Amino acid sequence: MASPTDYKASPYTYGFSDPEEYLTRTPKGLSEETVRAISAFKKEPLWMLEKRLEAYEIFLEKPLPTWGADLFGLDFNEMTYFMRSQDRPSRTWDDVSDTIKNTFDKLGVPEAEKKFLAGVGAQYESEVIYHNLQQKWKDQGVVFLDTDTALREHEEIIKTHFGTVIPAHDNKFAALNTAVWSGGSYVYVPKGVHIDVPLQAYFRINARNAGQFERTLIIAEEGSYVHYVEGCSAPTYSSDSLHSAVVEVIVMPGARVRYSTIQNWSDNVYNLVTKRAIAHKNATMEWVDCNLGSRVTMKYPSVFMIGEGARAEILSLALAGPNQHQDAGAKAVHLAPNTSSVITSKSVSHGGGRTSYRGLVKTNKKATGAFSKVTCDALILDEASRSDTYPTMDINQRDVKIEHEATVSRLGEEQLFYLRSRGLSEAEAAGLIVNGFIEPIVKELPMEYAVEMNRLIELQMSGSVG
Amino acid sequence: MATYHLTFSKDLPATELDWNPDEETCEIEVPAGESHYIFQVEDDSSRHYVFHLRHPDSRLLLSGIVNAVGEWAPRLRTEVIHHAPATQAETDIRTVAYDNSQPHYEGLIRIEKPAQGSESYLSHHSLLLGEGSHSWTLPSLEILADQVKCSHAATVRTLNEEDLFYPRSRGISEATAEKMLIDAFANSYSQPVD
Repeated sequence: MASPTDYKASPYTYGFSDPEEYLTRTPKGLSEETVRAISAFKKEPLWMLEKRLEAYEIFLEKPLPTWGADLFGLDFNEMTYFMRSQDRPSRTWDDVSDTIKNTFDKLGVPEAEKKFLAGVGAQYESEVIYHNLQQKWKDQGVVFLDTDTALREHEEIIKTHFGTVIPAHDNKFAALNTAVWSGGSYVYVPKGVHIDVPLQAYFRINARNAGQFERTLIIAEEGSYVHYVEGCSAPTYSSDSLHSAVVEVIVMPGARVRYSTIQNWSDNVYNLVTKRAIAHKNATMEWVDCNLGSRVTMKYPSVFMIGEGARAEILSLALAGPNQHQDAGAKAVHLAPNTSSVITSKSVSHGGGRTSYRGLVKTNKKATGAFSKVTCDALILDEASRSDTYPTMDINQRDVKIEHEATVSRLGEEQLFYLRSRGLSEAEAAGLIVNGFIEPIVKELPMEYAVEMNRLIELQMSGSVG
Repeated sequence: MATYHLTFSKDLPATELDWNPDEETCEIEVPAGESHYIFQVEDDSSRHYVFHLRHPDSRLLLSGIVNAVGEWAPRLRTEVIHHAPATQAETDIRTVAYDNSQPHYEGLIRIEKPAQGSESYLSHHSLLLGEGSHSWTLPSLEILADQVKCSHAATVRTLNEEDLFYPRSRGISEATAEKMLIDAFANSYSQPVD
């Protein structure tokens, strides 16, 4: 019988067996050393370090936005900018707050998934899922990696496209992300390939350096199609107070990309994300953006239509409860003839929450025959809540057709009365009406997400309607 | 109904309201009952009006036209602030942009917390006629009360072949047809019903 001393560990086969273990986290606060340390730890090429350092300078120079949500509570020196996921403070099931546990139970999240979402699960399980699915994608020539690995394995293509859609000087948080980014996804879809299953990023991203400053790059070559799903409708507990991701999408001629996000961070999180796509000739870009959690969200997915006949569709959903401000919206920039965009926004505020739609439709001289339609509907459930709409239309070409409409209303008395008379409680009735209100957006999500979303809405409504 | 004209043009009689051109913002207390304010902006200027509805059940109609020609870049900002309960307001502004003009319109509806039971609507329609015309529009809503009905709508477009086809098929010359359609657009802003 082998004695315990005979045992030799075999190489770890489930991912994150990175040999470089000399640095596991940077000290609190942000400085040039932090940026250099992150880059050195990842053994990045020199050009990436230079990009990071340049972005860090831009970050220092740029002021905080004076519009939008209140960012006064942000303290950049109180944060840790880089931490390996396996070195994150371990948490036990007992540490997880009761509200989150209850939500898991009511949503019917499986046990293992619950622990993972709460940050107490063993993370290699998710790596296994990732590797099993990866073979199928590989056969079709698709690349789906975390951005750190992609930088090692596909350096040239990353170098060509990194920061071309969202340069570091775009805004303060894009600069911050460029300086300290870690993780995120890199997706490359070759010409003509249609990926029929949605690529789901949630598990994989979190298995690595949990996505505090994710950097995602998606390239869809001519005539290809991909549906990328990010996030999870079950609440995600995070101890980080700032999430600042950058997502760049390049949609080549005739390709179609759909990017679905379901964001449900815990309510201590500032979620400040820059998402932008470039759509070439006859390309279609679709953002489905659902914001349920976080304390403050500022996120305006945008599409720059630079090729003739490009299309943009943006569906935005925001739900703000107590102490939450969802400042979400969409931007459609028409830079070529016969481009079209459709923006649909639905927001619900309750329990003192605040939702804002902030959008932009812009056409330049080249955008003859451009068409844009923006519809924003807001529902306010009680008198403590607030809803704003700020849609800008900047039209520099007369041969266009631009439409915008917005409504703000409350729960219909008649609808409530009908449902109450059928024996539903007030909360159930409110949940049903809200689910009906957001249905045009939820129906665009993969089925399992849609089901969870509906349950989550019912849960949030219970006890919130007076 | 009290009617007030806010006219800004070299060729037309000056506005009946006391308005100090040095002041950046013109604050207007809307009287109780029904009031109608009519804008007619035909110069290259920057104006900011704030209408306060402080009398319960008062009604405000705000309508008008901005005509921009040449290289003008007139800026108009209207704010309708509902302070009192059960107030009603309608804002209907039309902009016609000729030549290389760059009209700029911002319209805000704000419902304060006590203004429960209020209704407010805003619409802004732009007609871009000039080859180099450029329009900038921002209709906004800030709603702090829940028992309200609010909406806004905005459109930007030009005259196209289809619009002209019908009058042309009736034997009307292109120039006359265009003028008819532009006049119809410019004069169709909301009027009070007697």
